[in-house]
Amino acid sequence: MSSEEFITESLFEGFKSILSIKVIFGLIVLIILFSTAILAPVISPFDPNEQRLNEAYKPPFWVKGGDKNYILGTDSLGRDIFSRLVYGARVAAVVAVVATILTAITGILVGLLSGFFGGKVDQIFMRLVDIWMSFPPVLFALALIAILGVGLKNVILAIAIIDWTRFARVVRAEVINIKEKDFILADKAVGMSNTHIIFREILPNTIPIIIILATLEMSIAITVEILLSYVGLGVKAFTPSWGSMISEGLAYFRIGWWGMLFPMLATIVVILGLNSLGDGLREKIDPRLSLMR
Amino acid sequence: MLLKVQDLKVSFATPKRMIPTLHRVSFDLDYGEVLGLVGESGTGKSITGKSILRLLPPNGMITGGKILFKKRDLVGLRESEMRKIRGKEISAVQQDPLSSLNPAFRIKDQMTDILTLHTDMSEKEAEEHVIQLLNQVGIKDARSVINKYPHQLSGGMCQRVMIAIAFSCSPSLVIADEPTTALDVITQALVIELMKRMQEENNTSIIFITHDISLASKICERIAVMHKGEVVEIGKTEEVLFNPKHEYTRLLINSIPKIEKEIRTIFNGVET
Repeated sequence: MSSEEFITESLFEGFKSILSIKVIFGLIVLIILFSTAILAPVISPFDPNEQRLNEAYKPPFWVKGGDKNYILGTDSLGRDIFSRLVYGARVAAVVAVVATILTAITGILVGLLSGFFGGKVDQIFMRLVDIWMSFPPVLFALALIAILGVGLKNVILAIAIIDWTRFARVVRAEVINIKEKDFILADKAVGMSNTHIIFREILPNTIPIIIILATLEMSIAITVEILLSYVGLGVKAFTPSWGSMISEGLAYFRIGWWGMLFPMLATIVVILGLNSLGDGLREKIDPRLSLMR
Repeated sequence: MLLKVQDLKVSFATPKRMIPTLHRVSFDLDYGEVLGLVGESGTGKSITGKSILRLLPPNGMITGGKILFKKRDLVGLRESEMRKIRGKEISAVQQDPLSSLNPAFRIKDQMTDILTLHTDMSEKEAEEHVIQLLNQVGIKDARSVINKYPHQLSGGMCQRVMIAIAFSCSPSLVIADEPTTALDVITQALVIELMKRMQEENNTSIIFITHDISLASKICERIAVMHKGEVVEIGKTEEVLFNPKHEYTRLLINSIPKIEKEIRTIFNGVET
């Protein structure tokens, strides 16, 4: 076997070994969410904001009085719920990805510096994290939106401002663990600079834990966006978000249960999927890490 | 004279007070010479080695003395200057080979990193050099080994890689801190032999830190015996071994297990 083959083989083996029911379920949900988000214009039969007031309150097609064109029915303004759901996935996916990247970058940077240098740097950053985490996150988010104003960008920004602390703490703990290892001393003994050691030697060793955190962070970001949109402080009006759909659905709940049910179901499935992915990855990766150490 | 350590003093800070660990350690080392630092655990052998590289733990510091390396005093040197010396002029072989390699990278990446850091070799040249180095340390299928991760190699293999790394920039001095302690006896002998050969081929000086005076006698031309943070005896290996002057050296030599004697005492009761 050539070395190239050996590597592809071991990569494949490595990938196979992290699969479990939880991980597979999570991956499927993730793939569906992102492909829906990307293909939204293709999948959705209607413009999500197109109103047909005389077609309002149509139930899903299998219920008596339903219309085959509106698979999941229409809302109080006659907008197609399925189309809105599909475009809502877009909002959820964007929030999940962008907010997670932002929180991850900030948190990882703080965690790396704090863990590696220790002492005063660590004290300052960690006390800051303590103060940050002592704010109730939901109230914090509401306050931030009150300052920043509504809109997708600001929602993402608010999530990043609130949640970097989780990454910072976990990465710091991991760095403290890794920096005591012999190979870091060996790196120093061959004259590597601190920057090289932090970013090229320590950071790659924290990637497994960062992946786990990122999947969980995605679910938190989506939840926060939905929550903010539900209370009307999330995305701007007319942007279809699952949160705003739930709150709109609540308004005509007595006339049509479908307006509220489907965005709720979508939320539950996505959050469940992401959590199960993070959880499954942790179960698979953690014992392996402890073996490696 | 390559290295001259003069009255080196090292202390460690605890929340309450400074604890002196090394008291006036002095020895010198010529080009191409192998010096053994021998003593029981906790006598400051490793601390001496780490002081020369200026890699003491954060709470440890050099409180006095000089470390003259090629007539330059390393004690007062700036960290950025020190970084240029580490790996290039002075390198180290650690105790535990398996944990001394970064688990996240292939052997190739770890080895070329050092070469590109200290020399102006290109990635390609560095890779060729790495293969050559690995052949030199007795790894035959170097081309496949460079693509492996540390956990795929045995302890002996990893130590060979570490030795290759230590010698990769042809340093003048290698500090080997108990390089064979984590290995079994047979691998130990092979690694010692390898270090001796590398030392002769490159005319490198080695400071060989060990608690095993018999092991030190196999490779070292001179031996310095350390006890409680001091060098209590230093001299030619034969002199130290056969004519020890200090009480503690005698104690160390007597504690070498002598296998025939041991076996005899074990089986004496059973034999007759």
